[in-house]
This record gives sequence, structure tokens and C-alpha cells, in this order.
Amino acid sequence: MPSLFFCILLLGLRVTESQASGLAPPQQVRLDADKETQTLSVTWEDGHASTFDVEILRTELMEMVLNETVGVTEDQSTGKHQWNWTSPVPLECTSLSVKVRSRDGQDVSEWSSQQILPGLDLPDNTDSQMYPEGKTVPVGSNMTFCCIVEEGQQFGSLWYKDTLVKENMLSRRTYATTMTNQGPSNPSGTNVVCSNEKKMIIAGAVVFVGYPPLPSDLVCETHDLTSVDCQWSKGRDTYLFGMTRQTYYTLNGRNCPKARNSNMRCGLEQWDGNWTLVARNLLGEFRLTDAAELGHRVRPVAPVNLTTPEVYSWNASVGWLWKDKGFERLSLICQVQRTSHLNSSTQTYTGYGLNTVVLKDLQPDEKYSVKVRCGSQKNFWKWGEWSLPLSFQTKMDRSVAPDIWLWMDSDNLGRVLWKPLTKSESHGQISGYEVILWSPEENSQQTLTLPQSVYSLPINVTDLGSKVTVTVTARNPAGVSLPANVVIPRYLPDAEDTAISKVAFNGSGFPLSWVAHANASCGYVVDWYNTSCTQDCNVEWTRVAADNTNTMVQSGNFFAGVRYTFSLYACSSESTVLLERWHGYMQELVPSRTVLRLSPNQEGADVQLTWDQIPLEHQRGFILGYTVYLTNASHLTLLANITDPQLTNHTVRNLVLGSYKFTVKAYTAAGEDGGATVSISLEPYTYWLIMEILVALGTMTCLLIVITIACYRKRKWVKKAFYPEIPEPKLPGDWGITQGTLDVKPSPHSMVHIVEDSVWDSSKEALVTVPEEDEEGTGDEAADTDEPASLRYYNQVVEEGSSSQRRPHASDSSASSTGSMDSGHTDVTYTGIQTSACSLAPMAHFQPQPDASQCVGGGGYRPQMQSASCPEEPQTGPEEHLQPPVGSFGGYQPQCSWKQDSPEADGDGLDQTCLGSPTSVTSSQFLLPYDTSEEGKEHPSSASTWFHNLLTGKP
Amino acid sequence: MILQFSNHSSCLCLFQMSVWWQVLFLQFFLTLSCVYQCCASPPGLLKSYSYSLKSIRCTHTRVQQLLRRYKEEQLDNKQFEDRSLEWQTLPSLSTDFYHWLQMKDWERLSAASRDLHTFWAHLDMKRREIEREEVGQGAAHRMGSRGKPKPSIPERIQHILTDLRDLMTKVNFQLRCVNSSNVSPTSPPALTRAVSTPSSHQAPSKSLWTSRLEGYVILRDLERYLTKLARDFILLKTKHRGPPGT
Repeated sequence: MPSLFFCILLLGLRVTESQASGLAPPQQVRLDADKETQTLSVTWEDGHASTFDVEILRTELMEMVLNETVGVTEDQSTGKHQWNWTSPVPLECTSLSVKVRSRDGQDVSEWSSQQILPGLDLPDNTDSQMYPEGKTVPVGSNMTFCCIVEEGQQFGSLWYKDTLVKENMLSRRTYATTMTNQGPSNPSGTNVVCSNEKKMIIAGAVVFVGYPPLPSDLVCETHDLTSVDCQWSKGRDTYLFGMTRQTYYTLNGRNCPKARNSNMRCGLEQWDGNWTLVARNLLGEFRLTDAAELGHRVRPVAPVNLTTPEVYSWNASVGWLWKDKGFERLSLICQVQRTSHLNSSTQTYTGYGLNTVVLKDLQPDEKYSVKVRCGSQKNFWKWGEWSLPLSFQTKMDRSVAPDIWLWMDSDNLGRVLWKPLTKSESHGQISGYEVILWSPEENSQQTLTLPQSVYSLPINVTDLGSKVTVTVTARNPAGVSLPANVVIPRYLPDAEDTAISKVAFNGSGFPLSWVAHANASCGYVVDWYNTSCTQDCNVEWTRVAADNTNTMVQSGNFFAGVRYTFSLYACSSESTVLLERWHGYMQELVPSRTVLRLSPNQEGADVQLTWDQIPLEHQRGFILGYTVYLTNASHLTLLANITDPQLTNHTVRNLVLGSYKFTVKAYTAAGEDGGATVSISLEPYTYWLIMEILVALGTMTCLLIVITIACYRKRKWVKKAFYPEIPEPKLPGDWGITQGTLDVKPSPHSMVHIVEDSVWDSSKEALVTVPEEDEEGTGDEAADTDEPASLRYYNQVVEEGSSSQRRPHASDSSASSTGSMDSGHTDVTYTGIQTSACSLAPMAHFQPQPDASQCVGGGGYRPQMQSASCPEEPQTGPEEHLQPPVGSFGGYQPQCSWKQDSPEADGDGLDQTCLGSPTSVTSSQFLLPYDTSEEGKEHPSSASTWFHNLLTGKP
Repeated sequence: MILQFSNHSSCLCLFQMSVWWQVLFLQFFLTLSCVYQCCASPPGLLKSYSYSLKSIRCTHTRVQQLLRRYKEEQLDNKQFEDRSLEWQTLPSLSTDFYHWLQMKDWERLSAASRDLHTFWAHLDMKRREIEREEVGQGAAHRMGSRGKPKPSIPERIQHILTDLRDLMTKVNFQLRCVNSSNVSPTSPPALTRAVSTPSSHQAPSKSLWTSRLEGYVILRDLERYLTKLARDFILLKTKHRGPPGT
């Protein structure tokens, strides 16, 4: 309410003010809109002032768009004031209200009546719309787009191409956005679309953003001395296409319809001297000018109807015509380009109305293609267009003399070689060659005619003397060539050369230089070939002028890793003399194979390695030397570097015994080859071996002697120690037995048949029974008897030989004796009296076999056998021993059940039970058992065994 | 039928090279006579339907591809879709199923000939419009991914127009064949009939954007229509082949 009051008050004040000023308000205000340019034109009358206040509002929302004081003068003819305003927003977007009042300083009139420019968002226009549509604007400009939403729909969003942009609300249905600094659009323009709340596109517009034309480089010229042809470059791309937006050109006011894309040219019928090109599109126009005199801008059209009136072997004439007669009266400069299979060259000719030229220095029998272009000789501007080409072929001529050379395999055999003539040398198709060998000394001549495909001829000059000259001529349809002569050089193989230099390839060829030779009237010849070639080698050569003492040998046939021999000859009409020789590689490579026949040879502690050189074709470079390596697994240790390539051996010194592997590698400038490897195992010398044996034997002998002497001197002690007297048992009480040796006389019915058993083998050491009479153990006679005899027991060391000899004797004497013999294993001293095991054994073990023939293994009565066999089966399980081996012993085993009294003996099992019972079943004496302890186990080694082991080196 | 004869004539040529021209003449006359044989022979018409069906499918693929490109280049939106846009002068795509099923062959073919022609006219008009908008646009502006200039949209439209023209020729031929056996109440539309520009195009206020939407609507409806037309020809083929076992 207070604000309303304030407004009324203010309005009242203004009315009072205007009434007071006396200025009349503008009448008949009219609005005219140019929607294309978004320009609003406001006209009014009766405004007797020069300044006016203009107020523009958006009608619907009453938002102020413009409130400005402008100076507008009255149009004297119409008496009206007109003021134009360009709206940044398309005029279709929404309705605008405009009112004007006059101003004179601070005095203002009343506002005119409000005029409304209706927009297209009025309710009667229900469709969705987008403005401006199809407008073309320059790059960088700002532009406001508005979207009028369809009646009843809700605005959604605005998109510029594919970018969502922010919008402003202009009216109930109109939303606008302003794009600033727009970039060039694509050929189809830039789309601006508007969508509703359902993201459905409801309206769209296309805007084209581009540049005004900017052509450059306008140049006008004449091709026919009458008309003008102007060309220019298009310049910057306008980004505008289409019938309405593309750039149009006019030249001196005439349209240039053919100026499109890259073909920017336009022609006029007459030479004007001044030309103006106007390029125009929707965004603007650009002007280019050019001016020139006719004579300064002549660019002749291409000559026509080229002909060759005269054609010879070495020259020809070419003529042409001008389409325009004007050129026949013009001083011209012309270029003639001729092209053959060899090359292409251009020659320049001048002349007044030039239409014929003579081509010189042509090649015979050659196809040429010529074309011509001309320009104005005076005030030359540009070359005209090339004419169409004309082809012709020159006539044939005699060929040049062939380039010939001789290569001698031996003193009398060789080959004449000549190079095939090139097309530029043959001057026509070669039909054949003629070779003449003649000797002035012998006054003889040989002539040979060869076909055109032959380029060498084997010769034998045996019968032609020492000085033979070879002449070769070539023949073609035009005639015979000049002769090529060469005197056969003397054959000089490499071996006869005193010195052969090395020459290095420098990238383009082999540079050779030499001292000038007096007798080189017709120059020098350098030939080369593969050094390793031996027969039908490919020989190449080059000729050097007589006044030249160096050359660069070049060839496409040089290969890396191949040695070439270069020979320099001085050539004269009298002789051909070899001057110098070189060897060279285009590129040195590592050898393709290793040294040959590498072999080691032991020389004491040294090893001499020898090898053969690598064959020449495999060297692939100059061998600079050899390296000798000691190979240890994959590691190579350098032993020597032999820098003399001729040296093919090397001695490796002071090697200790063992295996060695040596590798020898040859090396060139490119490096080493893969290496040849050889192995050798160094063995001790023979006399050292003999010496070792002799020393060992001597030592043994001395030791034996010392032992023998010691034993002899201490024989009593030895006897006491090793053969003590067996004390007689002292039995308490009277046993009714006389003291002395127990004589056993078996009863006749107890006689035992001794059966030969080849399987059973008594041990070497045995306690053998000896007859009482033969105390020394040599009683063979007693062994032969079958009579029962009294036996005595001795502990005795029996040697191997004697044991085997005595066993049959012992067996024959008595079975009980055999049992005593087996007990002789040990060095037993009877330190105590043991109770006979057999007497203590259970009866089950003491059952004599009534029939000895029932024995399976023993085959007879062998009471002590088990004691011999048990030590051989120490690994046998106790279970096996628990069962008395009745079958193998034939039943009666008086000693097998003997057991040691010592309780520790129980643990050793039954294998010990049979060991060394020192008594016979028939003996009434008690014998000592072996000790079953660890120490006791050693006892079975008799002294003889120990001694034998000592000698044989067994442990 | 034509193919069979062509093979036969080729064999004849192989064996009688000396009478080559005679054979050619013979072939020409027999081919001419085949046109009428095709009308009379069910297998010939069946093959013709098959060719038309293949042609429709091929054209349909081309239209699909062009529509995709059109949306991308002209509307800046590959996914653009607006079902609400319609063009009254284009043939209606909605039909009653039972009515469609019971249509006579000549009715079906007549409708196809008429509708194809309508689409052809609209598409040709749109091609001219786009060409006008693209004047001055060199091939350099249409470089493809392999460096070769890809055909412009008017060129693509021209290919489709050619396809539609060929298809119309086939359909008119089939219509003649059908009418030769059945009395036709209507004659097939002539290809030379004047193209009537849709009334909306004559409006001076048509904006560029509207014009682009028109192109979209034409291609979209043509793509749909070709789908319907393919069904028409499948039905024709099926009917013409007869029930299984006959």
C-alpha cells in the first residue's frame, strides 16, 4: 500500500513536471521490424525536439530491454523522426512494448502511447518455434537463440550442437540463450535445438558460422594474345556452403560461374589491362585488382602438330605449328625436352616465330620422345604449356670397339674376354663378333666369328709364339666396328709375386694407386677376380688412361667376405706387363669355419697344439692371428694370442695332471670364428709309475726283512705269545684216565666213512688235527691210513696252501679230527677250562644219525662243519639258526648245541653257537669257546690271514 | 525361367560358335516371349517375387544406414528419434491386419506401386534440397575413415532412388502379370507421373530445421514401409507357392 501511494505520488510529480515543460509528446509512433536483421524501426511525428527518450520493454513480463536517450533529427521531407534499434534477441521471440518521449535538456514530454511489436509467442500461435533460423554469421560473433515452447508444454532444455546451454526466460513460453564467440560450423551448419520436459526435441534452428571471402594473388595473362585468363587463390576457407551461402566471384563485373573449389580462374574475351575481382558471400565481399600490358603477360598455348622432318643417326629436326597466328610474329624462346631410355634433357632455342629446331648429340638407334613449350622472349612472363609428346627413332651406326681383355690360366692357355656392348655403344643390334689372333713373329693369324651372345673365347697360343695380339670387332647392320687390340700378357700366378699389397674398401670402391710406368702408351688395365676361384672365374676389368696413376675399382659384383685379387697391367702396342697386385675384401667377416685338424700332443707337462690354416674361401677376411683359450665349462681363459697368422702351433706349458680342453680361434678384422676345441687328458709318465712300484716293493721288502729279523730274534717271545704251551687240565679227583694225551680210538662200529664233498669248502684258516707223531704238521703218511689212531690236538696256524693239502688228510684220519680242524680258526689260548657244550646240550641236539647216508648236505659225518659255514652267513636271521640244520649236517652235531656260559652270548644268536668248539665228540677234554664279544670276533683272523691281508693291501 | 533359358542359350553358343548371331536373335525373341510366359507360369512369378523381396531387403539396409548417417550429420544426434513427427502426404503405415491378410494380389501390388512412387517423389525432392544446401562443398569435407571421400547424402539418396525405381519396375511387371489373369479394376501408376510436392513444402516459412526433420521423417517412414513391403512379398510368395504338399 505505501508503495502504491509512492507511485501515484511520483506519477503526479512527473505529470506536473511535463505540464510544466510544455514539450509535446511524440505522436503516431509506429514500429517496423526487420526480423532478418533483427532491426526495429521506430518512427514518430510532432516531436519538436532533437533528443528523445526511448523505452523498450518485453511486454509479457514488463522487463526493461532498453531505456535510452537518443538524438533523432526530423526528416524534413516527411516531417517524421526515425530511430533504428538492432535487437540482440530475435524479434520473433516475444512481444516488445515501445514508447517515446521528447527531451529538451531536463525537460521531458509525456510518454507517447505504448506501441507493441507482437512476438510469435502469442497464444494464437501454438506451435513450438526456434529463432533465428538459417542465419549466417561471422566466426566469433555472439548470438541469442530463443525457443518458443508449444502451448501446453513445458520447457526442457536448450542445446547448441551437442552442448547443453543455460537459458533465460523471456516470456511465458519463450526461453533464450546467448552464444558468444561462435566457432565455424560444419558444412551442414550448427543445429540449435530445444526440448521439452520429456526431453523430446520440439524445435530447432540452424545457424551457419563462417568467414567472409578472402581471396588473394589475382594474376591475369593471355594465352592467345587476345583473351585474358585470370587466376587467384581461394584463400581462407569460409566454412559456408550451399546455393545461398557459397562465395560468388565477379571479374570486372562479369560472373565467374566456373570458379569453384580449387579451380579459381575466370576468363574474359578481350584484354582490358585492368581487372577487378570481387568475391562475395553472405558475410561480406573482398576485392582484388590486377593490371598489366598484353606483351608482359604472354603465356603461349602449347605448340601443336609436332613433326620430325629429318632424322639421322646423331641428330634430327623437330617442327611444330601455332594455333594462333600471332605467335608467328612474336620473338619466342622455346624449350625442347627429349627423353630416351638413357636420360632426359632439355635444350633451349630462340627465334622469331620459332617453329623448327635441330636436335643434336642424339644416340644412334635410340627412341626419343620430345615435347616443346615456349614463352615470349621479350618481357618473358611464364613458360607456356608443354605440347603433346612426339616419338621418333634415330638411325643405326657402326658400334664402338668392344672393350676386350685377356685372362691367362697358364702360359699358353687363357680366355679372350670382352664386355657386351650397351645400347648406347652398339648403335644398333649386334649381329656377331670377330676374333683375330695373330703373331707378328710367326706371321700367323687365326680368325673366329662368334654370335652376339658370346663374350669370351678360350685360346691356346702354344703355336703362336711369345707375342700374340688379339683383335676383336663387333658387327651390326650398319657395319663393323673399329678393332680392339690387346697383347697377351705373361702368365704370372700369385705365388710368383714377390709382394702382394692389401687394399681396403672405402665404401664406394677399392682405391688403387701406383707409380707411373713408362711403357703404358695405351694406358693401364686393372682386372680383378675372386682369389679363391680356380677355374672359369668371373674376371672384370677397367681401363685407366695413361696419364692417370690411380683409380677407384667399383663393381656391383663385390661381395662381403670374398677376397679379390686386383692386378694392374701396363698396356702398350708391344706388350702387356703386370705391374702390381693387391688383395682386398669389400667387407671382412669372421671366418666361416674354424681351423682344421686341431690336435694336442703331450710333451711331459706341456701340451703342444697344432692346427692347419682355414681354407681361403672360408677365411672371409685377412687372418690376423689366432687366440688359444683354455676352456673350462663355458668359460674361456685366454692362454695366448698368436699374432703371426703363419704360425699354426702353440705349446701350453707346465700343466698338472688332469683333463684339459683347448679352443683355438682364428680372427680377422671382423672378429674371431667359432673356435675349434680339442681335449686332452694328461697322464703320469711311465717311469714315474715304475718308480712308484719299485719304491713300494722295496719298502715292503725292507719291512718284511725287519719283521723277519725281529721275529727270529724274539722267536721265543713269539712262540710264547702265539703258540703257548697248552696247559694240561688239572682235574680234581681221579677220573681213571691217565694223564697225557687223550688217545681216541673209535670203536669199529663207529667208523665213519668220509664222503668227498665238493661243495663244502673249509676256511683257509683252520685248527687242524695232526697226528701225534707229526708235530710239525707234515704227516701225510699218517693221513693215508684208515686205521683208527690216537689224535692229539694243537692250535696251529695253517697257511692256505697247507690247509688245502691237509684237509683230505685230516678228513681221512678221522671225522673228529675235522671238527678240531675247524676250531683252529682262532688264536685261542686256553685260559680256562670250559665245559663241553655237547655234554650240556639238550638231548634233542645230541641224536646221532644211525645212517650217515641220510645226510643231505654233508653226505657224511662232519661234526664240525657248521663252525666253518656259519661265519659265511652272518646275515642269516636267528629263526633259521633256531632250527638245527639237520639236513645239512647229516644229523649228528655234537658241537652245534654248545653254548657259551656267558650270559651276553645269548644275544648274538645261534650263529655263534657253532663257532670254534675246540673239541671232538670223542674227546673228553674241555676246550675253550671263542669269545663272542667284539674283540672276540676278530679272533677268527688267524696270523696267516692277517699277514696275507697285509701283503694284499686289504683292510 | 529367364535364367534357365539363358543357361540354355549359353550352351548353344558353346556348340555353335559359327551361328553366334543367330543364337543371339533367338535368345532375344525367346526372352521377349518369356515375359508373357512368366505371367502365365507360376514359377516365373514366384521367382519374380523372390527377386523383389531380395531387392526390398537390400534397399531396406541402405535406408537404415542412410537414416543413421542422416541423423548424425544433419541432426547432430545419432540417437534422434521422434515418433510424433508425421508427414501426411507419405503413405500410412498402419493397416488392419485382417484386411491386409485378405487383400487380393493385384490390390497388394497396386498399393506397393503407388506407395513406392510416393516415397520416391518425396525422397527425390529431399535430395534436391540437400544438394542445394551442399553446393560448394568439396569432397575434402567428406573424408572417410580410410582417407577416401565418402559419398555425400544426396549421392546415397540417389542410390536408394535407383533401387526404388527398379523395385517399382518389378512391381509393375508383376502387377501386369497378375492383371493378365485377373481383370484389374485399376491400372498401375505410370512412373512418369508428375511428382506432387507435399503441401507443407510450399510454405515459405519452412525453416532449415523443419526441412531436416522432413528428411528424417521420409527416411524413417521409408524404412518402416520397406519392412511392411517385405512382409507383403513374403505373403505373396507364400500364397503363390500354394499350401504345402501341393
